[in-house]
This record gives sequence, C-alpha cells and structure tokens, in this order.
Amino acid sequence: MNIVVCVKNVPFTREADLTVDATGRGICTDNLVYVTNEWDDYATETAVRIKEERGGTVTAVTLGCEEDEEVLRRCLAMGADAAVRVDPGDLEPDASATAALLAAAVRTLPHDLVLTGVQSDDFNHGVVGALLAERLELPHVAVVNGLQIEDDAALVTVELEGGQDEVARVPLPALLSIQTGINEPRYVSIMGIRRASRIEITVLPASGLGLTAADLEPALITEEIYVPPEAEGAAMLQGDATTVAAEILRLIGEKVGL
Amino acid sequence: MCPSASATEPFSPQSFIAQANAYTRALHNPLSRVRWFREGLFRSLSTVPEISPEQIWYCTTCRACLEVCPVYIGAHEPIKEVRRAEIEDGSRVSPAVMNALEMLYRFDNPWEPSKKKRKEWARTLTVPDLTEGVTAGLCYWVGCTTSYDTRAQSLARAFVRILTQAGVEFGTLGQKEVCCGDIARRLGEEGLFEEQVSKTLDLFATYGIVDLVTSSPHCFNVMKNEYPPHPGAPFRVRHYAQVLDELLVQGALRPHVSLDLTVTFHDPCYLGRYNHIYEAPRRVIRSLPGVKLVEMAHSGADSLCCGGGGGRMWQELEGEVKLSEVRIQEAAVTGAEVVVTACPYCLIMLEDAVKTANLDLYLKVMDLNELVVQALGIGEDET
Repeated sequence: MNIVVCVKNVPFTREADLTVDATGRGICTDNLVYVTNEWDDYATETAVRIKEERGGTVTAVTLGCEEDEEVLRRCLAMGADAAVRVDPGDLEPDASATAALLAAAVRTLPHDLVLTGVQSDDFNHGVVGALLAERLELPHVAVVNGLQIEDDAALVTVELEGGQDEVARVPLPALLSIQTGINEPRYVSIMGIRRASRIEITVLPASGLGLTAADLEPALITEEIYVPPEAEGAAMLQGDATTVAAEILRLIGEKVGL
Repeated sequence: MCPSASATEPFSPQSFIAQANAYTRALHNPLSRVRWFREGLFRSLSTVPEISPEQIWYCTTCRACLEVCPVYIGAHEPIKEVRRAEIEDGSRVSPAVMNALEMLYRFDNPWEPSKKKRKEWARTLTVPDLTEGVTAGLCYWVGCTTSYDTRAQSLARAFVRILTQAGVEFGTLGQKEVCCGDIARRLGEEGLFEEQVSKTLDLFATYGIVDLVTSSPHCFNVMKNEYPPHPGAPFRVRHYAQVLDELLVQGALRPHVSLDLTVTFHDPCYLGRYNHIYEAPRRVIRSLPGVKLVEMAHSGADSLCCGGGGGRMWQELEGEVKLSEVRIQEAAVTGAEVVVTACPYCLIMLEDAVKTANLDLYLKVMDLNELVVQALGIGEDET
C-alpha cells in the first residue's frame, strides 16, 4: 500500500508572545520556534504503522521553504521512505492554493491512501484535507480517530458529538484527515534525524506543477490581523464564600433587573 | 541498597543484571550461529524473566548498587544502553520523557517552552552577565532546573549573594546559557547529548570560559567526567559546595550569626557517589555557628537517592512508596530541624516529600546556600 502523508512545519505558539508584523496582515515569525504540526505527527505515525503491518511505501509531502524540510526529516526518521517539498517560491498560498499545490504534487506519486492532519496549529482552518480530496477526486473522511485497513477499503471511525462514534467503510484510494489521539506517535531521536538526513528530499518548484493562475487564486484574503482590544466589565470578587455568593446574587440581580 | 527496589517498585538491579547477563550470553554465544544450538540456547532463556521496557525507567542512576556489589557491577551503565535502544526505537517512550526531550531540543531546557525565561530566577538581583561585556574569572553555571523551577531558583539567588559577599569576581551566561546535556544522556538520548555538549563548548569558547562553578551536581558531573576532551582551552569545573568550602577556609566568608539549629545532610548522588565529595558540604555546615550536624541512617557512600535522578524528575512512575518520602522519613527520625542538601533535584524532591508526608511542621528542607546566607546574616531571600 502506497501512502502519501501531507505535513506542515508550524510555529510553536504556546507561551509565545505573538505580535502583528509590519504589513498588519501577518504575525512576526522571527523569534518563533517551529515544530511539526501536532495533527500531522499522528497522521505520519498512522501511515508508518500501516506500512509496517502491510508493506508498501510512505511518502511525506510538505509545502514550504528549505527550512521547512526539518518536518520532512522527522517523517523520514519516523519511517517514511521518501519526502517531497513543494517550493512555493514567491507565492503566499492560502488554504485553497495550498490544496491545489499539494494535489499537483500528490498526483505525481503513487497513492492508495492520502493522509493529512485535521487542521494545522497556525491558522486552524481545517480545510486543506477536504479541499485536497476534492482536487484529487478522492472520497474524504474528516476527524478520523480510528482506522483499520482492509484489502481495498478502509474501516474508518469518526468522532461525533456526545461521545458517539461513527464507523464507515471507505473504498480506497481515499483521503483521511487524522485526529490527534488516534495513536501515540513514536519518539524521533536526534540520531534518527541524522540518519534520515542522508535521504535526498525531492523539491518540486510550484512553477513547474502546471497550475494556472485560477488554480492558485486565493479563496481567502486577509484584510487585517489585530490583537483584540482589552474589554471592560470583568470584576474580581474578594472575600469568603458567603460574601462572594451574596455579591454574585446582587450583580445578577442588577443585570437582569430583579 | 537500591532506592527503587527498597520502595517496592518493579525494578531490581540484581535481577536486571542477571537477566541482561543471560540474554547477552545467549545472543553472543558463538554456538548461536549453529541452528541446533541456537534453538536450545533460546529455549533456555524462556526460564529467565524478560527485561521489560518499563523496568529500565525506574533506575535513578544513583549508583548505590555499585557501592554494595562485591564485584563492583552497577546497573546504571547497562541501563543507559537499554535506554539508548529504547529511544532509538521510539515507540515505547513515555509522553513525559518525550516532552522533556522535545522541550530540551527546541528550547534548550527540559522544563519550559521558553528560552527567555532562563534569566528570571534572578528577579531583582543584579547578576553580572558574561555575555554582555562583563569579564570575570569565574562562570557561574546556573543550570536548567535552578533557572526554571521556582523552589530551586532561591538556591541561585543565595549563591550569588554569597559570591558577592565574598568579593568573588564572577558572572553567568544569562539568557545564553543552555542545557549541558546531562538529562539527555541519562534518558538515553545520545544524539541530543552530543548536540548540547557542542553548544556548551561553543559558549565556553565564545566567552573564554575556563573556570566554572555549577548549582547542580549533575551539570558538574557531566562536565567533569563525561565531556569529551576539549579541543580549545581546557576548563575547570567545581560544584558550589567546593567553592563555599574554599571561601570559608580562605576566610573570605565569615559566618557570624548563630543559628541554633540541628541539621542533617542529604548527600546528592552525583556529588557523593559519583564524585566522592562527602566532606566539603559537611565542613561548610560545621563551620556555621550554632549548627549541629547529625547523620541519617544512610549517609555518605551509603546515602539514599531522593528519587529525582536518572530522568525520574520528568516521569510519572507507578510505585507504592515515593522514594523521596522514604528519605524524608529517615531525615525526620534524626531529630534534625532542617534537612540540608546541595542539588536542585534533591531540593525539589525533598521539599515535595516533606509536605506529602505531613512533616513540614517539624522539618524544613533547605539548600546549603540558603543556610550559609542565614549564617552570614545577609538577609532573607525575597519571596
């Protein structure tokens, strides 16, 4: 079984001080540390486990510049066999253009199964998987938290609301967006990354993928990014439980006019 | 006495070594190349309990097994090798270990996703920064745990005030300090260890550092005994207990405030068993007016580990008894009012144990520097 897994290098923003850049439409990334998008880690682990069980190949694909190759080297260290980087050049692709570029790259690779993460930890749109499936004309299942591969189909579990699961049989080839928690991704050692750095990464320039201007036209245009202004109206209540409870009652009474 | 085994955890250095021995003999027996013998050899292994991957994470690498073994075999060295293999395989590494190593890889410390916060321990204290043009002979290597953990931070503040009081010219590497790599090596992440060593040596070269003093016996040990021969200028590294001892002997420090305290000293494994520094911290304690030192049932080479070594600070392991609580009970029965230690891990572990064992009304946990500051009468630490 040949599997393609799409991965992304994203900034680690937990406890980072985010600031808006000079254009007003982006975030300053100079001081941010980049990591593999968490969801993609689970998708890669899923792919590698299927390969270990059933044979075949795993190819990791990312859209990004040379520094983003780290994410591919980690995939190779986890057990992927090959890696492809789509170089966007001067393009600044949104989710729609990203799907177009990835689709063009995936078409050049043999694929019985394409995996993505549910969303990426930077903008969290969560649409690239669905858009990519549409471009590749593949059946798509989102938020997959369980997967069993049969000969020409995948038995897919999807998390619904209220602790309910839905199980569906999807014919292969298909595209699945993998949810965190589907497995426990393995640890990638520095030695492993060093060994993986010997594997050559294929670079596909966006300009050579035969895409038209219409294909790459953004579906989303960011007008402005700003830090939400501090709102008023929060009050810290002091005192013991009885005092605080009485104060809460008084405040509620005031608000609803009791 | 193995602290893990004696706390009834599922690990025993003796059976680990016996198992490792049986497996190694079978795997490397020349006869194992002959099919008929090989089958027999491996059949014989079925009677030996298998080395479980979980078992190896219990070892605190405290080296107590080495001290009691009549043929001087310690479990910590082979454990390190098995951990290396587990890290390379990657599939059974616990999320806690993974998180600590990932953090270390990305942010140069195993505690927090921030390089910036490394300097925050100093609070309002002015600390000379060698990376900002200060020249001083001595570099104080604060270390990750002392820099990031709120309890351990006061160790560093106390030490800085002592050095200042003694008129020692010193500086730290401020925000540029990195992890020395010790924790990576203890957890079996050899590649990361190598990266951290190279980053540390680069810092030494950039800022011309040839003389160091560390907060942690762990940084001290790894730099002293495990760093590769330095291609540039060789450096000297000491633990702060040695420096305090020297300053007292030289008369640069004059403790004059009588503390009227009975204290006991908990030997950190990496200071004691790894480097045989038992007397320096005790001499420091004895030199403080009004301080009486009593010993625990296990002390010196026979000391009991606090349970924080070998990467156990970063793991949640199941055990019926907390190793640190065993130790704090030992400290409590000496009748001492304070248990003094000289390692940030021990400080955190024992501080925690004194509370969970409900002994905090009778027993206080202090770092050696904190005690010395009191005897020097140079004020209380801000809280």
